[in-house]
Amino acid sequence: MRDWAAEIRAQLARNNYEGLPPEVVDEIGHHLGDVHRAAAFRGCSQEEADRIVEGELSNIAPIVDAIRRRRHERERRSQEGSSRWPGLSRDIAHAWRVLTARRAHSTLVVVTLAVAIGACTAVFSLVNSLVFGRLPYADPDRLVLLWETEADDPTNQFIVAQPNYLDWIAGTRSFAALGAWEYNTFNVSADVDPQQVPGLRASSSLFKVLGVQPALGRIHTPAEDEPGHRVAMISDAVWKVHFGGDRSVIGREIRLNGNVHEVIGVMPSGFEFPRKGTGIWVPIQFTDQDKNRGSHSFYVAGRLADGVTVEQARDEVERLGDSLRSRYEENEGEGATVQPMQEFGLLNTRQILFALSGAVALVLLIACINVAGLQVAQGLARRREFVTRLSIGARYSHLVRQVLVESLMLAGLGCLGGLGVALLATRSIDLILSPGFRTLPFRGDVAVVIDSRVLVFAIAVAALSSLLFAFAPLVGLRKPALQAMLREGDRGATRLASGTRRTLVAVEVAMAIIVLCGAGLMIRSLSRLLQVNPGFNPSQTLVMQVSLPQRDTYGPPQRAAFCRTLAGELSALPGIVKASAISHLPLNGSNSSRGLFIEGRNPPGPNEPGSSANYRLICPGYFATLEIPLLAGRDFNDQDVRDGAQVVILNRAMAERYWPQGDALGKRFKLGGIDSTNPWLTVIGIADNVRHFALEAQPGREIYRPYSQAAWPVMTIVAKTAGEPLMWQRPVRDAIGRVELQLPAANPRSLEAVVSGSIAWRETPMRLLTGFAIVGLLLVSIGVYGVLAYYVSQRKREFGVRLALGASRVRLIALVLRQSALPVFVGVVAGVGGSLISGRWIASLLYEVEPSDPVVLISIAGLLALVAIVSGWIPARRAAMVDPLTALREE
Amino acid sequence: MGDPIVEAAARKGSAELLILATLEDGQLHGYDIAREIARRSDGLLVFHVASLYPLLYRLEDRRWISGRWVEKPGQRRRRCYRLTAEGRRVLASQRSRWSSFVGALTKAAGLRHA
Repeated sequence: MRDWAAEIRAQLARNNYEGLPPEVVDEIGHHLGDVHRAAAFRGCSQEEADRIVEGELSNIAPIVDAIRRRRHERERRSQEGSSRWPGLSRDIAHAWRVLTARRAHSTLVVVTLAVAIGACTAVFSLVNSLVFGRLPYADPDRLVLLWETEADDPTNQFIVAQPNYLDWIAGTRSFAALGAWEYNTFNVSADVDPQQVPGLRASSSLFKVLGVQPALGRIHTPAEDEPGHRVAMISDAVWKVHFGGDRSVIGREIRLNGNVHEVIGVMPSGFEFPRKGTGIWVPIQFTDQDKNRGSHSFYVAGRLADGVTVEQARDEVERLGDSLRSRYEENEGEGATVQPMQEFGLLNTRQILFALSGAVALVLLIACINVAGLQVAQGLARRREFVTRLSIGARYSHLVRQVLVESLMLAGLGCLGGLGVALLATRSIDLILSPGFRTLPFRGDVAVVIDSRVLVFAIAVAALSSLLFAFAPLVGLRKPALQAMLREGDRGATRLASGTRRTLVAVEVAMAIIVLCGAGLMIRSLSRLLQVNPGFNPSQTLVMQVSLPQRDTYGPPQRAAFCRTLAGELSALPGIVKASAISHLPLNGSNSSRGLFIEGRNPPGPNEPGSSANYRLICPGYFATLEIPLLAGRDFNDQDVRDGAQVVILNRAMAERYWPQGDALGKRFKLGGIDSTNPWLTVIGIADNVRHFALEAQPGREIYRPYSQAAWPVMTIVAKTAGEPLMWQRPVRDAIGRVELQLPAANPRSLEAVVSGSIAWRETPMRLLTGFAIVGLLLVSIGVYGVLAYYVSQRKREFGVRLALGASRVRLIALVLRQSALPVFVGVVAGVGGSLISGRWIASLLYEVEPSDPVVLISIAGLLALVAIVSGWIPARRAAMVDPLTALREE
Repeated sequence: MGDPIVEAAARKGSAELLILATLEDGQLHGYDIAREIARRSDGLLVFHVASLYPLLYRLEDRRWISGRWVEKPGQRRRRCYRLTAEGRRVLASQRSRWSSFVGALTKAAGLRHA
């Protein structure tokens, strides 16, 4: 039988009919076949049947017209932008096939987008939660802290002397209320085993400032702030642990440091002012010692009065500070200031967070550039496909639609991945941050929640980069030019594309260098810090805190024999080499300072700072235990008893400051001003300096007194052990229990952990920055690889010709690598310049490293050059391994 | 051109009714549609390809019928058409319109049933 479909095609061709789709031709061919068979079945001869079908065949013009009309109709409808998108599912299916066929490309784009979006969202969410999160009190924006300051340097803030606090209350109108507190640690015993609980001596006004009401009972009254009232408020946690959550707790007894108090209130769950774990609040009950203008012991918070701004309050307090300075000699060199409570404790963290935000934003940009580069390369590789399709009748709008669907799918997958990464990062935030990083004063543990605005922003940026650049290959593809393009191949496009991509690589390299340098500088700071000699030997030393029963917190010790008994018990333990105790362990964040008057000196004149020093109480043997050199004189011993001659040991900084001639031994001074009734203290020894506040901080002036002559409520026991210190935890704890019945020991740590804990806040940003730097480096190497791989694939033929004409393979490799040399070089130069500028941002986070540190800059630049060469190596080798014959035949 | 009666029917819109009615009982391919109409009209109404396919494509564009390629084992691939839900509604309404028209015509012009 005749092939009627073929006859239809011939008929169409004869009449110049175009565009009858093959399936229509097929369908009508079948029909004509059926007509022919039916005619034969009816008994027509072959010729008659043929004629019948030919008759039908001669008249197919109406079908051609109908198909043409149908096409026009469809075009018109699609131009009208009908709300339906016919064939959307087909487009998606097609896009999915395209994307899975180019698995490497798709995976790279999706992973890059996911990492960038996820990291960016997580870091910005962290910043938002920490910096902009609200304090958990009523009207938190109205809460401020008040500080005394150094008049010369108001950024140097310190805690407040009680008389100044009272003067502030009397002399200001900016505040609805002011409240004061001092940190304390209580040995709590009620129904269960004794336990150490952090707590406060707080004025009743503090609770008014915070706007908090107790869950049970009441807040103490201003009258109870006067001595003689033994009442306490407890936290929800203490209530549950020590009283089993009994609602009839009000009025019951609780023993704090051995003294019976009456429970008058239970604070609401979650209230732990001022920091996590605080469980006891007792009335402030100022002592005679507190009432000394030179004794800075108290934190002060305030609530702004209605309509008063922070600036107005600050002005008023600063003016008052100035007037107090001129009125009291103890206030020489001192001023006062106001700070929003929200900002406290964020000084370092804030800078770190902003540095991290900058870094992660750069990584997001690098990722976007990479995605853009990948999309451009991919699209250009398909340019020939598009040209071909356009020239055989595909519509431009259809290609646009297909590219749109493909890149939307890529972006969508990337965004989903990014959301996953962000969720994972915020959920496991504590694995990433160093301990305590998100524990802020006044706010406890800050919850890090994904900020939806940030997520949307990151997604928008990343998705745009993948979308916009996907269309690059379609630009300039118009029908008139197609012929030329088909003839030319892809070469025109190559020139355009490699120009764009090389620019992108240069930008990428520059930004990566900035992030890498940030990380490098932080790493170098930390390693410098780890080399700092703290002035003592922290190895094999166990430290543990005890609170000693002490009715008058800072008066003469109730347990004068504490040091002797402790030494007796501990030295009896096998494996304990030496042991002692101190009130303020170095690098632990605790401090206390005292004003003092030196015998025979004139009282300080106006605008002259009074003498002062940081104040420590120790047991004999402290210097020997921590291997702090005793430079002159002697250590304390058991003969330095409570009622004997009052003695003191200075550190070197103190001796050099007040007795620069080196004649400090035997000199006398007393705490407080010239008219203070405190006893004279005789200098009997000089110890070497210790880095007390931080490894990076210069040692301050320190004076040490024996515990037997002046008490301190919380002492830290230090014990040199014969091995891993934490192994002696149990025996030391038991021994302490024998020293003082029911004396709980808290917070056992190795002194080395204390030292490394003091720089822990540097580790988080260093780790994160290093992570970002590695991601940035990876992205850059992908970028360089992409450029060169594409370059090589486009020039295969040229390389074949060169090889055929006798070029050496080594020269070819060099030729390819040279393609990335210029952009990488430009990028390195720009990046180093950028690092010098951005380094100023993090300069205050650095220790003994300049942002222009040549070691860091040179090694980072070298590292990037190396990465560029390595990532160019594979495509370069591919170029050199081209087989000339194959390459020439391929085109 | 094709058969004059069919041409006239197509112009008046009755050819649409014919095709919809033919597909009422199930799906058919183009040749079978034409054959079924010829059978039901005792050979009076004969569709040629030139009249049938433009009509089928138009009905398909209106989504009254839908065509798809059907492959059965041992048979050639054929494009079969069937009524859509919309097509079924159109068929019902056209039927009632045509039957009242034909009724009116019978009375007014004195036609007789054959």
